[in-house]
Amino acid sequence: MSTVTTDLTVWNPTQPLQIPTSASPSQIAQCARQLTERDVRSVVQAFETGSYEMVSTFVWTKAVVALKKQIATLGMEFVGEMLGRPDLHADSDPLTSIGEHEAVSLAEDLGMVTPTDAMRMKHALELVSHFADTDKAATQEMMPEEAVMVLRTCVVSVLGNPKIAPPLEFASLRRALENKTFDPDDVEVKNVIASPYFFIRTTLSVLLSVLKTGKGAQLEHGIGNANVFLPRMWPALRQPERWQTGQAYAELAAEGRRSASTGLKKVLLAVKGFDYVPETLRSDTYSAAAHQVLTAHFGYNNFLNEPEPMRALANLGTTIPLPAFPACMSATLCVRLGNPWGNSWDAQFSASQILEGLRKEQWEYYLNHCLKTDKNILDKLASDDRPRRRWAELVGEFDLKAKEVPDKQVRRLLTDDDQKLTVVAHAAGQLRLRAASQS
Amino acid sequence: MPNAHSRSTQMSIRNSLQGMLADFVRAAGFQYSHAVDAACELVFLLAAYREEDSPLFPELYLIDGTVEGDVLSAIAPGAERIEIGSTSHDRRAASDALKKCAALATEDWSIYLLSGATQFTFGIFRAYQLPYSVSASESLQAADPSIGAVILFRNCAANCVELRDGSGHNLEVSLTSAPPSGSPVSTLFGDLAAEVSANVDAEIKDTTRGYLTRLLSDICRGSHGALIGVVPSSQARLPAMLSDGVILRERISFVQPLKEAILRRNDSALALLRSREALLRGMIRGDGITVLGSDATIRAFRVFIKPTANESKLLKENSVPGGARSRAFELMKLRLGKTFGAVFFRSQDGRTAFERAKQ
Repeated sequence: MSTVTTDLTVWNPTQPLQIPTSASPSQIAQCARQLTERDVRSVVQAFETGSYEMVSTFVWTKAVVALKKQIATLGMEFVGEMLGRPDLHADSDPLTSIGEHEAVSLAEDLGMVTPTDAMRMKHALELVSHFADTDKAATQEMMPEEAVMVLRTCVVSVLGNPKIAPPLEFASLRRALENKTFDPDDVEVKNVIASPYFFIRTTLSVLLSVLKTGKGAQLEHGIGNANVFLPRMWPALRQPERWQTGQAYAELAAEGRRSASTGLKKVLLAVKGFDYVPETLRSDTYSAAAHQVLTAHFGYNNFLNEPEPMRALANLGTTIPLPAFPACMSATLCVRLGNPWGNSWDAQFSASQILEGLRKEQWEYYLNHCLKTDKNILDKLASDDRPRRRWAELVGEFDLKAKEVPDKQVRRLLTDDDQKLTVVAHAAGQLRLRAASQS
Repeated sequence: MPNAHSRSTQMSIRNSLQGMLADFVRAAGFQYSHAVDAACELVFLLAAYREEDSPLFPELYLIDGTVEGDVLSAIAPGAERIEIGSTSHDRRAASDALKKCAALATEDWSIYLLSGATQFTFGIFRAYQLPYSVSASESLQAADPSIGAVILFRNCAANCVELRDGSGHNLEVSLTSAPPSGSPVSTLFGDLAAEVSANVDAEIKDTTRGYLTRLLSDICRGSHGALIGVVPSSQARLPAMLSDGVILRERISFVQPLKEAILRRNDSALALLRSREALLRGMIRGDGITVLGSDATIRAFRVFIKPTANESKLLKENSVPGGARSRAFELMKLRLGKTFGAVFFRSQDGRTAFERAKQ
């Protein structure tokens, strides 16, 4: 008889498949257990005929679809909670509603891929998106080693496993929070509070998702556990996660989920957290607009597709509700910094409109509370020279050095000196590690 | 020359009311006397508030703004708010706020009056986001004293004002000679809604009850009276005694559009729900009895009932003051457990009663 474990244990990322560095494209393709024999033959043939853009796009699409489908098995409401996307609900189609960059980021958070593989997957996404641009395809060709990198990354991270899934400990965490009510004195409760931040953040997302979707006993346990865990987690919660909690309370009340709303109100009373409840649910509109910008930025033909959603975001105004602020800043800075190949000129005016409208406190909120977990921006600063240079320009233009930023590592990012860009890269790498799942 | 023996005495109900209100306001957590003055003024104003000769029924939340924490966010999370003005700490504060906001405080909008350290600020906010959302007044009902000092003021009947604080204390101030109803009017709407949603799926029962509480009290507020009978959902056909009226061939359900609105979250589902509300409003505000099913459905409207010989005798023995609606309600009460599972009455002057069949 099998027993259902309900431990609350921090997980380690799923170990990636080991493929020798000397393996040929054909040997790598043979390891892709999620591809059919026919697919593998096509991949090998494409490499032989030099159709690198085509094979990279094919393999990438297969990998990202598999990843999204697996992520969707966790429940789209939960996915929405993790991604800060109130527009996602149980019936949302994972293939069209989860962005490719979001799928990679979430897979990293949940330990489905290692942080290093997540970084490689983002590079693969950038490469595939760049060469998918038909204008560029006429003048530039993908190099064979770039195509091999995409193939290897996709096989090692996703396609090489018969089924990619979150670690067992994650499933156990969800089960535990849904199936039993913990006692404040339980050792598991103390362990969660002493865990790395990503685990606390995921526990919060699981709890809020149970409150939003749970029924009957499951909801009762969710409410009970919210009252046990949240007051203890609260002092450690960062501002964005506190706003996430307040936003959840507002959504529960708006959705008419009375028991859950009353349960969360009790928690917010206990922690005096009503200052984190938004005065408007307009943040949903901002979050959705930011999501559109990021999808365009990380998608195909990004330089062409960024201006419209960026304009839409800018037109919403700079009174950005705090629950949506991290996503809006990440989207705006992605457009401003661009990628290794450049940036969308037509989107710059709208991005600047937002950045120029920010008050000192808004900049400081982003630098102190959001940047250190903004993987989109940290990845750019850690690995790409062009975005780093544009960052230095931005630091100078908005005098970010003068902002009050106590964190030393973040301060190292605030330079407008081209000669110190290696310092920026190093600091961003360190912060990226801190933000990564296993930190 | 005035007569040395003549005596002139002026009496005001204000003095005796002020003491009682002061106790209530202080118990709700307000520390300053200007809050007591504002409360007293509000009671008199809201008892029969009119503008341009039309009665208005705004809900107003008096909030202590001198303490830490955002009380309005606690009871109306995510609610859009619009500041309208500010005024000094004097007796005119309440009338200023009502004058500028009362006409706006209809449907989902309510008024807030924030008592700050040096002045009052006031404005309007959305007391609920969607028709089925947890409303501010419902949220206040399930609140906790530690939420902060807040009192809801609303007219609950002609010349009658209800005050409710964050710890569940309720005070009904009636400025008429009518005897008190015995239980808060808002509780009676809750009881009626519970009966109408008694046989709704457990999954959506809570939401339906909350939604109907808000809807029924909104409809009855300002109506010239209402009679509602609730019949068990298991009753496939209405009894012959209810045949004098418009009997609907198909039940009009609130549950289905409610589920659609919650699940689909789109405009058409919400519009459908709103259109059902408009129907119910028209039916309840019309003459006769509106018959609702315990599965949150409308079964019939404009139903008129006549007493049997036996019932006439009983009614004569226990004659009650009032008009035709009061007499019809007495008859409905006689049929509790036979025809109706529960009955509800509201007179033009706001007198409200609810009774359910004994189990």
